[in-house]
Parts: sequence; C-alpha cells; structure tokens
Amino acid sequence: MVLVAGLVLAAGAVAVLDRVTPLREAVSAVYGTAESLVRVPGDLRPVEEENARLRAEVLALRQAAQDGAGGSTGSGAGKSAGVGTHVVGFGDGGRTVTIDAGGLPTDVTVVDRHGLFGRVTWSGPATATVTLLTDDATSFGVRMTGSREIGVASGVVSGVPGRRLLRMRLLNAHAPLRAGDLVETLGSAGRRPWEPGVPVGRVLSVEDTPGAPTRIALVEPLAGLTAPGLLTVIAPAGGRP
Amino acid sequence: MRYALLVIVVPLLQVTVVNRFGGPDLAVLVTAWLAIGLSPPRAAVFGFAAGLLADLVPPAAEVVGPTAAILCLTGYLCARLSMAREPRPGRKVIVVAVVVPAALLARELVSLAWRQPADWVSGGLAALAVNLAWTLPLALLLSLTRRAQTSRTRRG
Repeated sequence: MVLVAGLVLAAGAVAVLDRVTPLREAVSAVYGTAESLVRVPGDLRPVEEENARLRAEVLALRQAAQDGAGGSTGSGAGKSAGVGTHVVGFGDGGRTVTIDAGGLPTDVTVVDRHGLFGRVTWSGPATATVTLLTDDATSFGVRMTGSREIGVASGVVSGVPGRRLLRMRLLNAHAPLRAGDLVETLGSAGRRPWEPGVPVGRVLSVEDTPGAPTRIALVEPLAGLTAPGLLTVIAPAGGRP
Repeated sequence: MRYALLVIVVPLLQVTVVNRFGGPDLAVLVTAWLAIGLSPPRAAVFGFAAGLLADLVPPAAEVVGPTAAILCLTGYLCARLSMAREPRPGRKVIVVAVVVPAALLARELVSLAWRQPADWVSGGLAALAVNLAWTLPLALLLSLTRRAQTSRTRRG
C-alpha cells in the first residue's frame, strides 16, 4: 500500500519534472526513432523534398494571387519553405499523429495532397507531433472560397472511428451556404499556426436553424486523415523557431 | 524480464499499428493481464511503467503522469482483488470487468480535463464507448488465459 502511494506520488513528481527537464524529448528520441524505422526507400527522398518545396510554392502563389484580387488577409509575401514528412505513429482517438521529421518550428501549418491536415504542436529531436484539424479542442478561422464569408471551425467527435468532421459557424447568419461549397483557411495573424487560403473541406450539410445568430454547417475535410500520405510542413522562413 | 520487455514494446505497437484503426487501449489491457497472478506491489510497478510510457511515447501530447498513477492503481487493484484464499473461477473475470472500465473512464476524464474541448460530454462519451468496446472484451478473454497460468504456478 505504501509502495502504491509512493508510485502515485512519483507520477505527480514526473508531471512536475516534465516541466523542468525535457523528459519527453528523451523518450521521443528512442521511441520516435523506432517508429520511424519503417520509412520510404532513400531514392524517393529527393523527389519528396522537391514535392514539399513545390507545395509550399503553390500555396505562396495562391496567397499572392488572392492578395492581388483584393481579399487581403495575408501579411505580405513572406517566403515559406516546405518540409516533406510521413506519418509514422497515431495517437489516441485520432487527434494527433507523429511525423518523421524533427527540429521543426511549432505552431505551423501542415498540409497533404488535398488540403489542410493540421498544425505542428510539439517538436522533438527525431520526430514531431501534428494535431489534426479535426481535434475537438482546436478551432480556427475559415472563409468560404466562393462568397468570402468568414467563420470558425472546430472538430466533431463522431462515434464512428475514421469519420472525422468539422462543425463550422459562419458569422453572417444570412450568408449563402449550400452542400458542396468549398471552405478554406482564413489565416492567423503572422500566418502561424494557420496559413491563409489553404483548402480545408467541403460543406456536407447545412443545419436549418431559422433565427440563429450564426449559420452552422458540417464540413468534411479534404485531407486524407485516416490514410495520410506525404505531408508538407509549411515552415515560414525567418520566423521565430 | 519477459514482462518488462512486453511493457516496453507495447507502446510502440499501440502508436504504429493499433491506433490506425482505433483499437484497444493496450496499456490498460497489458496492465490488467499482468496484474492477475502477480503480487500487488509488482503489479503496481508494472502498471506505473506502462502508464508512464503511454504518457510519454509520441504522439502523446498531454500532461505526463496521470496515466502512470491510474495504471499503477489499476495493477494494484487487479492483483489485490483477484487474490483469494480459496480460488474461485469467476473472481478474476469480475475484477477485470470492474477495474478496466474504471481505468478507461479515469483516462478519458483526465484527457478531457486537460484538453477542455467545447463539446466534452458527447465527445467524451463517444471516445469512451469506442475504447470500452475494444478493450473490455479483450481484457476479459485475456484474464481467462491468465487464470490458468496462475493456478499452475500455485500448485508448483
């Protein structure tokens, strides 16, 4: 009994210790490396790096084009660098994944082939942790690609594993909104953690609530969240690390 | 030694394979399975180690420590409650049927308290239901295999 009490106290001590020393980094160095052992053959690496660089460039050009068209939220055309990575581990409840790239800046956007995937929330020596955009404790600004109406999206936990959706609230209660409409990111101040103009998803269904102060819709993310392929971390150059 | 290896390998299996399809909570499963047939202090130590690793192995992003405490108690209770002067066949199954859901509930509550999602009732219930549906039947099945081993060691 004394031993159990001692161990429970030790668990509390570990929680405090974790604030002081990077215990998580030590474990990540061992387990993260083990997770990354299943990686792509080496000759694909240069191609993937080029792919990541091009994705970052496409995003920058898209943002520049939008700024030119008058919808200005971007804070100048800061150069971004893309880092190509793969998912090597999956967290509880599908909220987080491990990617096989370490030493990344945190709070930066992660995209896949189709659109927004999530943001880097922790970075260790060998791996980093990405929190998916459908995490139910995350919300971020969105904009309708067509009507330019703005709103807020956050993740919905459905009972069905693998079915990840977003609930979006448009601030204008009279905004035109129908199933199939495209949603993109609004972008954060300083473009961290969210880059502006990244495709997020398609409206799945619109809740019919007459008289409500906001318009609510379910959005299906474009990114392949359950079977992620090559991911690109959009790391703004010259930003804080 | 074999048990220590199991506790070390299990978190890796959890994040690389099991979590792809939202499978069982291996840390709870292994702790409950090991605890039956071990002495309560040893069960508590294995539970602590399994819980600490579950808290630390990436992509775990939440606070470090609560799972270690929860699984330490899980191990202790499973070992302590399944001990009996006259072994009855159903005892360990009942202990697992009570302690494992309690451990999963405690883990989910800690996670909700740490992350504070807006819609925590339905989100928490959905996550708990999926977790319980995977973990509890397996824990009950595994407890049956464990009982056979224990009775052998007792005779020997």
